[in-house]
Amino acid sequence: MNYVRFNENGYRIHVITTDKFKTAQIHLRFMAPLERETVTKRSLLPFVMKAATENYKSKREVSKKLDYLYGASLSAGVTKYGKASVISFRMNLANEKYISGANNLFNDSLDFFSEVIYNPKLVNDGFCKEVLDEEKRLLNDEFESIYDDKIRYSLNKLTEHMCEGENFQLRAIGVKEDIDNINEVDLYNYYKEVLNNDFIDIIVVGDVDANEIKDSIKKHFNFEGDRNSISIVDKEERKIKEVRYFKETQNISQGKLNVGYRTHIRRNEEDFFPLIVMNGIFGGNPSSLLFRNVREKHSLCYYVASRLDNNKGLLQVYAGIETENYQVALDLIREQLKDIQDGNFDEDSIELSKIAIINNLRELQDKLSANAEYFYLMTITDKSYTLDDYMELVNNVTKDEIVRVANKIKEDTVFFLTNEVNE
Amino acid sequence: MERKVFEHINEEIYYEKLDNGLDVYIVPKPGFNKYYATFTTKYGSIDNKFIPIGEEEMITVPDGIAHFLEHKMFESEEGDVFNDFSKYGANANAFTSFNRTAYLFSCTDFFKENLEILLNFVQEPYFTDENVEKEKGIIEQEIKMYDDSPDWQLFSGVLDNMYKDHTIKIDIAGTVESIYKINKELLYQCYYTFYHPSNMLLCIVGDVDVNQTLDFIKKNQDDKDFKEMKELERNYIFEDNNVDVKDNAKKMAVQVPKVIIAVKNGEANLLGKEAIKRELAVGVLLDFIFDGSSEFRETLIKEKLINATFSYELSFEYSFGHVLIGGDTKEPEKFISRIKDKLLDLGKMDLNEEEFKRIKNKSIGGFLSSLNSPEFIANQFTRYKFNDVNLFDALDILEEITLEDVEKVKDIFVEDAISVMKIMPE
Repeated sequence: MNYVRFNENGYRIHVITTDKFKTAQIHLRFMAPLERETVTKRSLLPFVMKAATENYKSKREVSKKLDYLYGASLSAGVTKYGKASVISFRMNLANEKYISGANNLFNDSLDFFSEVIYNPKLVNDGFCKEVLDEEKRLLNDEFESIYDDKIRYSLNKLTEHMCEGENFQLRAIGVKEDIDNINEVDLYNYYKEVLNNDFIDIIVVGDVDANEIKDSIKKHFNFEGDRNSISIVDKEERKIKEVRYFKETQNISQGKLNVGYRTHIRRNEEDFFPLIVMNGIFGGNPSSLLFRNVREKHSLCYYVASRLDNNKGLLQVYAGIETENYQVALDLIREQLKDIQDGNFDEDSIELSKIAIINNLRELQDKLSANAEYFYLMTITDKSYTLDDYMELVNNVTKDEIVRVANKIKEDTVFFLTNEVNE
Repeated sequence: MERKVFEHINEEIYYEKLDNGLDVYIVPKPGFNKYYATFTTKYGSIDNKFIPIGEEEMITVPDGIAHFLEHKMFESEEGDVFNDFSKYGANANAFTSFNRTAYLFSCTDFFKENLEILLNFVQEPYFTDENVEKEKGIIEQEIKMYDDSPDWQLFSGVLDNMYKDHTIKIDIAGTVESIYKINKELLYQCYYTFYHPSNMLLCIVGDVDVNQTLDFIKKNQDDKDFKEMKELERNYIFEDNNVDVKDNAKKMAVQVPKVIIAVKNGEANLLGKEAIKRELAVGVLLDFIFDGSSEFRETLIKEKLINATFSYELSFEYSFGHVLIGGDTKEPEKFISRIKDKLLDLGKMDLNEEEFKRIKNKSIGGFLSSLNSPEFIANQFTRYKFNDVNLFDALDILEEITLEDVEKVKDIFVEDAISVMKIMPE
């Protein structure tokens, strides 16, 4: 596998060459600050662009075109990375050499991609109102559906409470109340801003030639210009005086317990590596303390795990429990962290955690999009670890470092979704 | 050992049936970091009635026992099997479905060591009264997690509607009541009957040395003794395509109604090429009706009857089969009637050659993309094999399907075969 990055004026082209996949991927990402005024527009925009173009005037036409490109697919979305909101488009296409009669597939696909980016369907000075209304309806429905997935809903609520008053409280999906107030002219004007001001990354993964790709991209897209890249690392933090508790009741069968911590560590700091090893020991895999003790030993839950957001410095634990076991489970979770902070864990568990992290990294290399994501993340956090560097840094982590970073971690908020019976 | 090459998709597969009856398949994947292996038994939640190995009479076991067994396999006399895998950097997991239970791992190093752990832990059951008791609390929480999942309730609700007696009506994890009836004796009975190598399939996908790997597996298996196993006597129930309940609803803490419309397949006794052809033809027909390029989909969107959650799929196995169509909708009754009207009027629908070509191209492209995934290869390969077909042959069959084949399967869509399930806000 080979990685090449071309730093152009205002944008970057990344090419990851590998011949083990039967398909290729092209990613197009637009980065801007995560801000209240634009967050919802950014959530709507990529879908409006993808829904209709001047030459493919409906979702149906777009879909047919993709089908003819041998089942190519195009997906759009918006993601939060710390302080940034990233609009992304991703195209999957078959490698020409496996399909007879498909020469020029890559070029044809880029033609279409370029159409989607530069040629949205317009009416007078704005987007087509019908198209926009449809995407507004779908976005509204998306907000509502989050409520129905209780695990996801409760984790979102934890973050919402934890980051009250902070920029990070903004979700990439936007704010539901904004939707009705966005009109087709405003959004079109914002679209022009995005094309002119956002910092852009194009990532191609597959059995391709880097220089050919660069030329092809430049033929199909013009992103030249002075654009500012953003530092995504978010260091804003509410001062924690004491742990805050929030509860919500719904008619559900199982309680969803969520505990949030501040790690005070970001992914571009040296402590990042001890932190991820620590998280492996704490709740990152089936050999972790949370899994072994809260689930296996005490039979309190089926799922329990911990996850990190390393752009913001958060550690979050989530578990599904019997509602009356709230205190028992919470105490046990706290006990596992305390054990790590006190150094009550053996060298074996450190080894296991490191091995798991390295194994996962290697496995991800077998996924097209994970490859793209790895190099993208490296780039936007100004780090240039090769995979080997990264693995070495993981392996060098010591027990002392783990204990030290564990002691930086402070509990911030608890959110419990429970049922009426045990309120 | 047999070797089969699939030139135009650049894949090959090796196969051997071992002396003890175990089917072993190896799919080399040069250049891949990941090794992936699945060890699957043709035993799932529908197999609740069978003649245990060495016995004469049929027995019926508590609901959820196949799934319970899956959980308990990970506990060995030495401790937690997950730990053994972790030492060699592997990710291990398992799943129980209606008709199979799979144990699997992925790793990027120490492949042989991890393979040995897989073969050994699945073939060395260890159940005690204590460890069985302990698992009940965990599985109870798993059941409750699914109780709170509207999508799962929708799915299991419509299955319950469609089938009268078929054991697909049983929840895979059982119920809180049924799992408390499980004990170690029953677990052993199920285990020794269904986990016999002749009822299992080992599939390996990765950058392996095929001969060395096969020798390693053979040596591991030769060192073990297995009781003589004659034909496994199951109790398959074959129903016609008339559904038991046409319409049902449940209230849950959701904001938007969720609907699923199911169509029952009456011809569920097919195997081999015939079965796959029917399955693929129905898949093409569904694409004709519902995919992103269809006129009907556009109508549903224009009428605001569907959103991003709309989906359709089919599941055709031996003894059961159905098509499922559904999603979130703000107008459940209108949505249901639109879909039903469409399905019952397929005679009017024009299946032309151009559309057919487009859909075929898309399916072939989709299939190619799936071949990037070792998980897809191993899991689907096993599923198809248990139904007597080779996954890679399915691609050939897909390429051979004609418009006439697709016209023929329109007959699945009849009024009596349709059942509807709704999850409504409180």
